[in-house]
Amino acid sequence: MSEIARQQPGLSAPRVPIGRLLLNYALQYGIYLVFIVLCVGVAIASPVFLTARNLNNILLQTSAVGIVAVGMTFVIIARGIDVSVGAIVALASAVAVTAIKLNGAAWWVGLLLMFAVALVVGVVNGFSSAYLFMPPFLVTLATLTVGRGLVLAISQGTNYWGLPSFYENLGLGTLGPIPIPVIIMLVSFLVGHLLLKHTVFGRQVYAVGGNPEAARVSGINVERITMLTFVIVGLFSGLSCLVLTSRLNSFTPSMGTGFEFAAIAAVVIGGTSLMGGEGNIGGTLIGVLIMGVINNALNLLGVSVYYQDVIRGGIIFLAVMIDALRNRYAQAID
Amino acid sequence: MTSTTPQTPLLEARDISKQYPGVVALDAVSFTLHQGEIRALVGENGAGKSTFVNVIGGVVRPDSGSLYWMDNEVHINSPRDASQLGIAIVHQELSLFPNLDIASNLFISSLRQGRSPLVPDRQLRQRAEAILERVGLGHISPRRKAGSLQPGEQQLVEIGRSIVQDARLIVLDEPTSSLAEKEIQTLFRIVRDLRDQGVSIIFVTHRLDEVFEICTNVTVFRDGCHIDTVPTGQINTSGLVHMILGRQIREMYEVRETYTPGPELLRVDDLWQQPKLKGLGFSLHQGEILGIAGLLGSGRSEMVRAIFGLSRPERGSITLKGRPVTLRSPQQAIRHGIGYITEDRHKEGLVLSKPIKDNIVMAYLKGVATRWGWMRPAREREAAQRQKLNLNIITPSIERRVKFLSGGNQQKVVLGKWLETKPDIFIMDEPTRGIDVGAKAEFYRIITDLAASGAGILLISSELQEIVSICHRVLVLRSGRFVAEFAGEQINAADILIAMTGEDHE
Repeated sequence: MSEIARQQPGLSAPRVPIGRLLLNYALQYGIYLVFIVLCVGVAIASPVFLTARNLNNILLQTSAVGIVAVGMTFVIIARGIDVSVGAIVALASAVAVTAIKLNGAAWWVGLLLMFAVALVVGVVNGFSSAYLFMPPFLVTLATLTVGRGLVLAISQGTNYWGLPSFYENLGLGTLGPIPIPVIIMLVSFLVGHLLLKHTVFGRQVYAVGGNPEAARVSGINVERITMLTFVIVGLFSGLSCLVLTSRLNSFTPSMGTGFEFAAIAAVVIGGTSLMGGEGNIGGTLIGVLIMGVINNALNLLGVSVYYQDVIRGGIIFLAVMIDALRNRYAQAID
Repeated sequence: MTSTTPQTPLLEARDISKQYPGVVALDAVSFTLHQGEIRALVGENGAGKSTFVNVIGGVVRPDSGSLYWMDNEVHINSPRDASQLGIAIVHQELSLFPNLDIASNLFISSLRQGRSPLVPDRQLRQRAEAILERVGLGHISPRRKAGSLQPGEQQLVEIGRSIVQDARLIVLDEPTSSLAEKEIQTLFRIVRDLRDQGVSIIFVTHRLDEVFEICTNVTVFRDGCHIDTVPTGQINTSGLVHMILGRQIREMYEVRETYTPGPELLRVDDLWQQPKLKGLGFSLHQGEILGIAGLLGSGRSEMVRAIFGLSRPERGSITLKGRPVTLRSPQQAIRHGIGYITEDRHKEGLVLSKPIKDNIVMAYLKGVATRWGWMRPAREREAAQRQKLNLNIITPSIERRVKFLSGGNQQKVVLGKWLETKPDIFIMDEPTRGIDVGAKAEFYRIITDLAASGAGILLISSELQEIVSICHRVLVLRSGRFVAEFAGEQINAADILIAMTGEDHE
């Protein structure tokens, strides 16, 4: 066949205008730049920012949302979305804590209950989305509502303080200088990264998100992969619940409120496309950190609570805009 | 408006250039088209045909050069400008609104008549009926949703839309690639009608036989340059191929090799799936290229989808190497050694946003991973590199995302993906659709080589020349039944065409 082989025009050493190239890199890697500029800016504005205690604090406060964001990355890459994660956190906590406080269950029973609840909701979300072809946004909106309702029904709307020492140790303990919740978050990111980048399953998630029909013809069980991504985000929500409940050493009905949007925002800021098929866990980590630094800066700089949401919303708007621009101007410069 | 004589060109392009990063898509192209002319525009993929069409259609703005419409210089900055001049482009990818009915699709840019804010449904419907009659779809109600039509019928509706717009120039971008032979004849009849009414046609195509059948003149593009324009009467196929490729190739297609049937690989009996499949049965042998010829809608794709486990037949049995099997999913089919090159590589063949490497290992991830599902990057690269060399995929790197490859190279990635699963049965549904002449010849070579090495190949094609050139045996499918079989020297285009269209043999 070499007889017919010809060099095609334009495939060797493409010459891209320099401005175009810069725009492309800015869109591709701009988020890291934003992160650095943000940190430098906040450090200049507030001397407290770079203290070890404050940095630890940022990580500690992002840990619960960060863990959820790991799972959310899987779902979004596979073209799904899960808005029920905050409700999963609250429901798992409600079931576990009331079992411990009202029924005298052992700490490990509580632990098992947390993950069982998270798993069940994840399976319901996944099964409905994958096998019943229901739109994931609406499915999880429904489970969000049901979940929040169940939280109030189970807890009767009251708070519970004081958990067995296992939770307190986990929530307040440190490993060297680093709080255990932060360690759990970082391990979650590592596990998520390995799973997504280095396993057959991860490859299948990308294939399903990139082109479900092609994935199906290539022998990938599209329904099973879709379902598994929801189970994964469910389980990470269970883990997040463990971290949050332990850190607060209590249950409150409003736990996990807004987690869904914080997690989705972090994932999108980190460069994962809502169209599916594109994204990575490293980006999500940066997204989580950016959100964390912004929240921290807003407090350090004493910005009114009323305006904090305005700023957060603005950041999300910008991230989505960058995503849209990136999709539009994507060029062949591999 | 200037009055036109046959001497005044309808459209003239002077020194049109367009550069993309790394590619000169058009290099000072000049082009003249007269009224009532049917002009073929041919060239390999990447020759600049599509860019040129997009310039005329206002989709792409040229870097330099000028356009003249009936001797007046014009700037076509948007598709709207083009359609106001009277230029209509029927793209390869159909652009109808599947959720709207045919009448709305035809009049989408002129739904409002006069001052009334209401859409005059009844009036539009009557006008739509007249238009449908003109494009050979008189039997179809204008109330039907456009999405419920066959691709060929949709194409005709698009041509109807250009008639509504009163187009003076209609560009048909590979109009026949989704059509079966009979529909092509309908299309040609309509094109000739339009010409007789003074409409000019630019016919972009990969099928050279059509150039001679319908076009007055043929323009050849190569590497972004206008090579030549000649009357079709003054050139033959090999001359044209020479102009397209820039050098002589000895024969266009591989000649059918002699073949002695090996043992049976695949046997299908009594396959039913209403309303498309009505009791199909055939067998495929080792080393055999079995062609399936049939018009669009004859059940070709439905048959292979049922065999590959993508749909459930109501009845029927499949026997692989003498053992009866049930294939309920593509996974099972792949495990049994079947590979399936789908009809539409963008829709079902590739993940366009992913690199060549990821696409090539996609159907056989197990082969490049450990037992515990851990990817082995070295193995992965090896596999991609192997197929790149094996199939001569032209790319600077296996990391290049597939969407930036030409059609022929994309199709090679699809084939490479299946070769990695080491199948002994290949189902190929229109494997050479929309790829250039050179890449086609390569594909025929590869297909015959696969068969020679012992694979069985089920080749579904709407290009008769392809079927006739490389198949050892041909089955003709019509309305869900096999109606004729030809083997070896009996295989000829005329008989197959007659069997396909269901006309009586005289």
